[in-house]
Amino acid sequence: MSQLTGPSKYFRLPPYIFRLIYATASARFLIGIALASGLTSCNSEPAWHLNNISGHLPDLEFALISDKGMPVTAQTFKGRLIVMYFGFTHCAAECPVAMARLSQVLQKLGKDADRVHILFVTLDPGRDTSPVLHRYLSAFNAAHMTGLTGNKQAIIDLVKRYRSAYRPATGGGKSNDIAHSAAVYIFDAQGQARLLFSPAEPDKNLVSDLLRLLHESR
Amino acid sequence: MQIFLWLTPWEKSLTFIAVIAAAAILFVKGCASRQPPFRQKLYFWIGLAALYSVSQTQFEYYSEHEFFMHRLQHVVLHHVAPFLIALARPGAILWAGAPLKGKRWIRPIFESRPVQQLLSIGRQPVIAVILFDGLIFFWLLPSVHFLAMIDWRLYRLMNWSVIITGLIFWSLVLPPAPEQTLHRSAGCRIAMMLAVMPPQIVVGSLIFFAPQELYPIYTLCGRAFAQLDPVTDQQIGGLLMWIPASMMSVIGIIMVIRNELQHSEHAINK
Repeated sequence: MSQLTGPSKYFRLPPYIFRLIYATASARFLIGIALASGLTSCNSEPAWHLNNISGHLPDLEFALISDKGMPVTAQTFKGRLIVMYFGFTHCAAECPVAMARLSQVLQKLGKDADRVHILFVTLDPGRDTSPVLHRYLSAFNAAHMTGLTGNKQAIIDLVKRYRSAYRPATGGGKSNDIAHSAAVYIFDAQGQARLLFSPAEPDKNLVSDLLRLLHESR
Repeated sequence: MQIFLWLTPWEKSLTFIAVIAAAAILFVKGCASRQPPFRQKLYFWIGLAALYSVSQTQFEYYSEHEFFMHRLQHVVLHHVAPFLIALARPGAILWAGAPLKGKRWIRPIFESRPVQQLLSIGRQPVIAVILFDGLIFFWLLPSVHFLAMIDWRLYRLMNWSVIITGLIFWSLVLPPAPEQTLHRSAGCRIAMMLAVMPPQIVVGSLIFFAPQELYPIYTLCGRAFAQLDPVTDQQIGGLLMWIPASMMSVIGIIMVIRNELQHSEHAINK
């Protein structure tokens, strides 16, 4: 009868079970934290239309040459929302379409467009010199746009900083093919990366999110 | 010159290079005193070289910008390289190669209660299987995958986590070194390898049969192979998860069975 005297002896479980319980408890604890943080972020603000990348990409930083032939850095554009796109003037399809769409979006912003600036960063600095870029952008909304060219390495570094693909396309053999991203990167007035616009999304999403960002920084 | 360019890291990680270099140095020093068989050395070096070559070369550019290349990178980081390293059973050799001062530092940490408890939890068959498969699926959740591919810190965390869970799993299940005994029976180890297969097959086939793009991040940031359309890329990625990943379990099971048969023959001959 001695084994029935204490409840601890009677209810003894193999230590393996406790470890298992401990592990699941801690896993549930972690999931709980993750859920809670997700919920609070949902409660504090409604979701953005575009991909929210706040805190996941580094702040805007570069030192390049503008389409007016001036050396510029990210500081030059501080105080405005920055809409950055990687392309090149010989690009046949995506780049002109993207730039035309961005021009339209600026028009829809009305007076607020003055607080937004579009940066067109060339991936083909060999051919896209400042005058070439200047002529190219004059076909769009040139007043709110700056073309950026410069040292090839500086451009590669900028592209890599934003985890964008950039290689001369394999096969085909055409020199005006450059594999590049379709993404449009949006930075707030402080130069922090905030949103990522995909050309697959409608323009109105971009317009409403830009207005929201402008409102936030007012 | 071209080869040299290929060997330069796309994204240099000093931590990664330091860990690989430390493992290599300890192994060379350990080999000098322990004289392991050639096969053991070969497995270790191929495994280590595979880890390095998919992480610290231009290969990484492609695995960041093409889904199937990303899956291929993970087949190496999670399956092939940890499999080979675990097969080499390098623990004792690495320990023999460690300097005396380092050993004095590491031993109390290794033998401390929290570390031992953590290890015993990680070694539980159910937990090891859940960790091994669960992490792959976690990083493949579309929203998580998006952030992991855009944020370099999460990207590094992802790759480290698959290497570590791979090493834990394969060192638990593969045949032990001659002088070593494992906690688990051969049947349990075979069951573990069987258990990790179906979930990978299911998720791989879900990705393979998905009619639309699940991971638009690759289109958004640009594809390394622009000619390949997104769904084809995704299908190759799904297949890589489905077939080669499961193959590693099959190879592991065959090795355990062979090892057991050899042992029983040995016992009979005695």
